[in-house]
Amino acid sequence: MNAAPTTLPTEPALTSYLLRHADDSLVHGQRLCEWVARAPRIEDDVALLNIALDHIGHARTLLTTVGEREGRGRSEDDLAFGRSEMEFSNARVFELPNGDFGQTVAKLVCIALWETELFGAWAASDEAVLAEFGSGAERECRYHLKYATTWAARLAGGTQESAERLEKGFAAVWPHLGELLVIDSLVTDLADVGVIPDHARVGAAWTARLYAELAGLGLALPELVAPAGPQGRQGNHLESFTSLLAEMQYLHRAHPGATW
Amino acid sequence: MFEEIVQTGGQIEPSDWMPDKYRASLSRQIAQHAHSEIIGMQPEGAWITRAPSLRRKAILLAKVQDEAGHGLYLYGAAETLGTDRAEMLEGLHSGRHKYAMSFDYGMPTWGDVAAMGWLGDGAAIVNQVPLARCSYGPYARAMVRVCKEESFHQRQGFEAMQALVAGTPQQRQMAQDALDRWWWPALMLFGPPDDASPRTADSMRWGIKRYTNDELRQRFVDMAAAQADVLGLTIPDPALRLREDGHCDFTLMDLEEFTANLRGEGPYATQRRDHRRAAHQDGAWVREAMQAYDDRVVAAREAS
Amino acid sequence: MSTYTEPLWEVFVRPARGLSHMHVGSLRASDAEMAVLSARDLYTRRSEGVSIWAVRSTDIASSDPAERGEFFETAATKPYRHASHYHVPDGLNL
Repeated sequence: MNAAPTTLPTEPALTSYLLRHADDSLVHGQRLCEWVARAPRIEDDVALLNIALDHIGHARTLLTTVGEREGRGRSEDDLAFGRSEMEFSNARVFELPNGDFGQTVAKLVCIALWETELFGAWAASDEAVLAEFGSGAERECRYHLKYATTWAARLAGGTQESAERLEKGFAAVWPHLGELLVIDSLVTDLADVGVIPDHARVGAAWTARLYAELAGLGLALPELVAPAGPQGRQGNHLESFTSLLAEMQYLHRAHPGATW
Repeated sequence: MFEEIVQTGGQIEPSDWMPDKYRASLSRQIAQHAHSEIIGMQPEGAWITRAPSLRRKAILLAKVQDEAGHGLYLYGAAETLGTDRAEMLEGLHSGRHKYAMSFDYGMPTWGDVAAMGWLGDGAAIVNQVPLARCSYGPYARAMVRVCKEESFHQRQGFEAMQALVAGTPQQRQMAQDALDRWWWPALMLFGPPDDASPRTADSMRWGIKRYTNDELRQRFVDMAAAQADVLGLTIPDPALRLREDGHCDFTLMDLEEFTANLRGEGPYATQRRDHRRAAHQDGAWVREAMQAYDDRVVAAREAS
Repeated sequence: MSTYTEPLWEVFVRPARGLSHMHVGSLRASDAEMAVLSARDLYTRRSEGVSIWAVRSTDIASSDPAERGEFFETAATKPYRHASHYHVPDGLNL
């Protein structure tokens, strides 16, 4: 990775930043895997697994980069399977349980919109690591968004039950979205030296599109605000997160040092 | 016309005349094949969240996703014979239709995922390659796609077994135990022995099958025995032995167990069908929404 | 329970620029948008295409298999439509 020399003064901040988003992808992908063989139509099994696979792919790329940059010899698997819940820095919305298909569609709409905005901004970054990852990931997330909004329109304009379930889904996801608007010192410091995009602008672009999408679906939800106090980014996760990790990590942890 | 085409190795297309028995037999076989892909997603899919490395997780995701895709290709091929997918799914959910009984066995460890990939998908390839030349065009074309895509399924299984046998003593044991569990179910994938397979004669005459069950089973055993040697694992059949002619002597699966499985009494048979039925029922409101949206919004758009 | 079955669609994929769309199979979808989305997931998981067409199966007009004779077999009696029908002197580039 030839970008290392120019970015060294920003370490370890940039590596921590990358780890946050690696964890977002990993945890989101892991949750979506739970849909396997349970989707409303087999076509949706294929589509949901596709989205899961893209996110596991994003996580692998980012975790490998993190491992290389931190220089402690940790592999993608060491980082995925060897950390405990407090060491995961994903935002809470990514670990949120899937709920029913309505909630999953709601979650996918919110997340895919966020990711297309964020990764699109990364793609335009001067920082090679972000630019290279961002341009590929943004394309994939645009497709996830298309799938999610196509379904959201059908659920909103389908039956009374489907409209209610979609609305409940957004209501369940909503309290966890504000965290994406938090701009802490890690983000400010990196943005100030121009290494990462301005998250205030990413957040504003995201919420504008999100509100427009909701309006199109005939839904109204309160304006999002950044919450105070520690959230997922600080290792403060939802109760259900430990079960997710336990399932994901048990086999790897049961055989220390084994190769698979 | 029909007889001439199938006798000369040609292919029948959906709009051609075909005997009712040919249509019925193919419909049943393709639907069963599709159901097997869909049910097969369950035991392997359950391991995606627990895969021991991210690479294995990605591979397993891609594999299970292929299985869903292959089920859909096959439902599409079967639909050209005049049975629609809803009817086929109803057959699966009600228990009226069968699927490959091997998926009614359990996969209690990661070793089973590896062994299933190696043996189950190995058997599937032996079964499916000749089907890509079968006499019904849509089925043959679906199988060409399936075979091309599944070539990685067996390899990833074999590679996962290699990693286990090269690993810790526990991993090695995991691999041997899984081979012990999956050897017999793999043999069952080829169906009953020829002398107990009433439909084989018709299927061969019509070019649906190109080889008999026993011929394909023999081909599989010959290949798997050589692969087990490379892995340094022991196939749980004391009678298995390589003959001078290059083929193996081996023991057939327990036919009583096979017949019980055929009646739907396999260890996880009820669970697999219940799971599938529940997924379909849980999704009913989504499909209803899709229909309502289609009726209303799309109809309005087309009218304007 | 709902017995709704989505309509059947035929899927055509253009494997690469410069090639025609080819029929690859069918799928079920409630409308055109869903059909194209599903076709992408189902038929282009391994970079098999650069463009997708989805056509309602009922919208396809086809020749009648019973008329195969008058439709297609008469062409076989006109070999002079093919270049291979004509003799070209050896060594001549024509």
